[in-house]
Amino acid sequence: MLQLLQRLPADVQGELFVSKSSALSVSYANSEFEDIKNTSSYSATLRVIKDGRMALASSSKPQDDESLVDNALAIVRFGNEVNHGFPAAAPRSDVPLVDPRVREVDLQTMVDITEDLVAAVVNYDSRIKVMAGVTREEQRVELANSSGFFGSYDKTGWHYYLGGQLVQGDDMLWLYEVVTGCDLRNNYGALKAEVIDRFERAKTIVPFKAGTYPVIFAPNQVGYLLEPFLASLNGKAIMRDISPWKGKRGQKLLDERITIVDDGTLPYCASSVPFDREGVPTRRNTLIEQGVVRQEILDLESGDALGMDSTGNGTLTGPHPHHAILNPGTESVIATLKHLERGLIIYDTMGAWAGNPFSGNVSGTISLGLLIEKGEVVGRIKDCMFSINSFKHFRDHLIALSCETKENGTSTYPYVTLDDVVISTQ
Amino acid sequence: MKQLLRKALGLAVGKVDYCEIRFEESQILNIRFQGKGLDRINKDVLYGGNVRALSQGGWGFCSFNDLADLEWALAAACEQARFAGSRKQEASRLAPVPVVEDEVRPVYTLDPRAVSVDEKVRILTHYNDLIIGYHEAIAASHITYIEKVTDLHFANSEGTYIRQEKLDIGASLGATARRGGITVQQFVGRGSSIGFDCILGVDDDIRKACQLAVESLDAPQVQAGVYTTICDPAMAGLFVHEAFGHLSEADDIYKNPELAKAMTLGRRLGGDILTIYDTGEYASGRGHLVYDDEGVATERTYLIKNGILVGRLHSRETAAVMGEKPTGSARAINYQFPPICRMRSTCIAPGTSTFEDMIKDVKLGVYAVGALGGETNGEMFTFVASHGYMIRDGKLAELVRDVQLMGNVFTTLANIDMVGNDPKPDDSAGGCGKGGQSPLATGAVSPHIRIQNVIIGGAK
Repeated sequence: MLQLLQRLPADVQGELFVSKSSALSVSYANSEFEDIKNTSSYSATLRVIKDGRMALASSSKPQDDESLVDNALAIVRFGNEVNHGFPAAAPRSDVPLVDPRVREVDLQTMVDITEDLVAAVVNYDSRIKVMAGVTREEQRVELANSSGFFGSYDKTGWHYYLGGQLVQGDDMLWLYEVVTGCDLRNNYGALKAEVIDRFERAKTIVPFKAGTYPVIFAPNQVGYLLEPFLASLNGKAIMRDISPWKGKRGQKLLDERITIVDDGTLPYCASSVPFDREGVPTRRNTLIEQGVVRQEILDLESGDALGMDSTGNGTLTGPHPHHAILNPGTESVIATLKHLERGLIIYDTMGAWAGNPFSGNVSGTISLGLLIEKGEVVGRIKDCMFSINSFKHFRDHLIALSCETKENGTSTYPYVTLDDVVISTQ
Repeated sequence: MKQLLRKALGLAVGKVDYCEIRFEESQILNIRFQGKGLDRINKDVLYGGNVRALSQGGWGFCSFNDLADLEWALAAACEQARFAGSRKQEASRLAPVPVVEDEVRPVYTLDPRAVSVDEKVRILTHYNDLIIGYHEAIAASHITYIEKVTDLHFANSEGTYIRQEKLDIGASLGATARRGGITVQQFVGRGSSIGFDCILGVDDDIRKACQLAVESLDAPQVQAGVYTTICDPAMAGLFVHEAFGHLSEADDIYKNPELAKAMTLGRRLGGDILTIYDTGEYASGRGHLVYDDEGVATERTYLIKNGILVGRLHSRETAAVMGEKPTGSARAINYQFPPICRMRSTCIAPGTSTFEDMIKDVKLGVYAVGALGGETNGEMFTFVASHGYMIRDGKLAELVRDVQLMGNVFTTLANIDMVGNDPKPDDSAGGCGKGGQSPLATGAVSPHIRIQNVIIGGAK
């Protein structure tokens, strides 16, 4: 790596990122063995700064140093203006990211695990066309720059999923759950139980009328609701003057039960890294504390533009959170559900990622939502949409945060119950 | 390369039922403006290949970056296929297709490699200046230009060898307006498989987008409800992609008898006015293909003809299992993935209605304009418009924002009661996602359509 950086002209600063990874995966689809995939991937990315401008070149071709350097130097005069350089070495987070047990799992074991997952759902209801899979990964990352930074880390990955589709006439019920991490997570029983329970509760379709209702959003849906906050705290959005939260640090904008943290240092978490893509050590940042805006999400460029230090959130496309955490509440989701006279619990949506996050408006089609009446789940609703404004609902309409949380690799969220959610349907 | 791939394939003879190799080298240029100036420029090389092998109905797949690893990858893919096949113990089934030896390249209207980076940056800077300088309420621009030129080799154990040069250009030119706590965005999209000229002469469209962004600051959020909805060609294109195109991809159907029953050919899904096809033949669109990633020649595939379901999008395997013919629809985003059933350019055939015909008897409705994105789970779909207008008493009324539509594919197709006579292509940056493969270059050609009883989310 250092040799390549040494080939750069004296007036050019450089940063080289090299990633080598391999993955072995087994997948089942339609309740049948589908395939085995073995992928190996190599990429080298060179960023250069010359005369205050930055450009980037990458290649997945091994031993392609010459074209990497030529391509970067050929376009750097058009590059974006930057006032910062690449950071020198700094103490970095010591994050455990390798589980040797992952490396030892052989293909036969992966097939056995997948077959067991599939069999559990098929035995529950053979009409369900089951999909399941297991992936084992290894990655080696090296980062060096001409300011003297050199860092590397290894990471293992272990991911499995289970779901399926139950088609009855024109009704298509489709659901799945994923478990992901760096360590050998093996609570397959919990995954099987969760998926089967979800199918069981969703089998009965019940009529439903449009209106405003209290809604419990499952942890895997909460990220869509929080996106307006994370987008508004993004240093690049603030720098570009499109964030509605520009200059709002220190102001209480949300319910005091809302505390959001970003943490890139969680042990064996799929999104953890010891340093970000720019070589800045990762850390735990409190973004919102008891409803008060505390911290922007920054990389080198946006930090420099806003007169602050990077928060260790640099990527090649601007600052991004590593692992967002919404602090839990004190009541179980079951207790909250028991208190609802009439409401919904939403496990899956479509299109809630779309739209303009800075407006705060979040809408989505409810692809798996269950109706609650008198504290009990009575069946699945169909052909409905939900709409909220996150800025308003997390300020004025928060009913509860559950004490249970769920981690999905890039976030850890509780169940969130909001009142006054608009539900549209025929 | 041909000899190298064929020599390697010789090592698979007798070991597996079928084997194929894809190898690509792509040159990518990406230029992005955000705010007042250029935000990022990069040149990338995507280089690598894969081997896919089939034995007793089981697939093995192995990707690699170094050609020196080709024989290792072939041995690994064959071993995995045999392992997978030993679990399935079925006959390997691939629909027969002609053995082809061919080299193809686009008929360029303007080869982007003939345009210097200086000139590309100059043109995009002009657009950026146009956006930033349009109005004081425009807070930022978003311009993305991605150009990918691919040299793709494909060879299989049946004797086919195809070398294809492919171009994919996608551009999105957008404006963000902000006033107080309100932020709105509008975009202009362009894309092509044959020339850089697709992004020339966009000034007027950019000005319109900027004007819309500024006006949208004062527009209310649409009221949630059920409306008669007219979709402009971009929204109709997104609708046909999300609502129906994905359901036509045979890899979700071929081993799911209940789903196959719901999608039985001959079933009536819409009125006589509705004809939908998917094609690789639309020459300038981002979905243009000569051969798919299994070496099958592309075609125009009718999916619905006069309201009747008549076809679906196949790989060789799904076609064989369902007893139908391959359609040249097996596609992969790059060498790291196996091909799966995907759309190309999905089209609604033009009807006879004018826009005036569609709107004149709508008491209260929504005109949904511009496509931001969508998603489907097979039966239900959702898609988001860049903006909309209320329709009141047969006339366009106030501008509204945050227009998101949803529906059930079966009822919505049946609820299309008018198809316009004004088809228009829609190609933009971005693409389609499925099975972890995103973004795949796809396109759409559609006229205006009118749909009854569409659910729209929004304010109460």
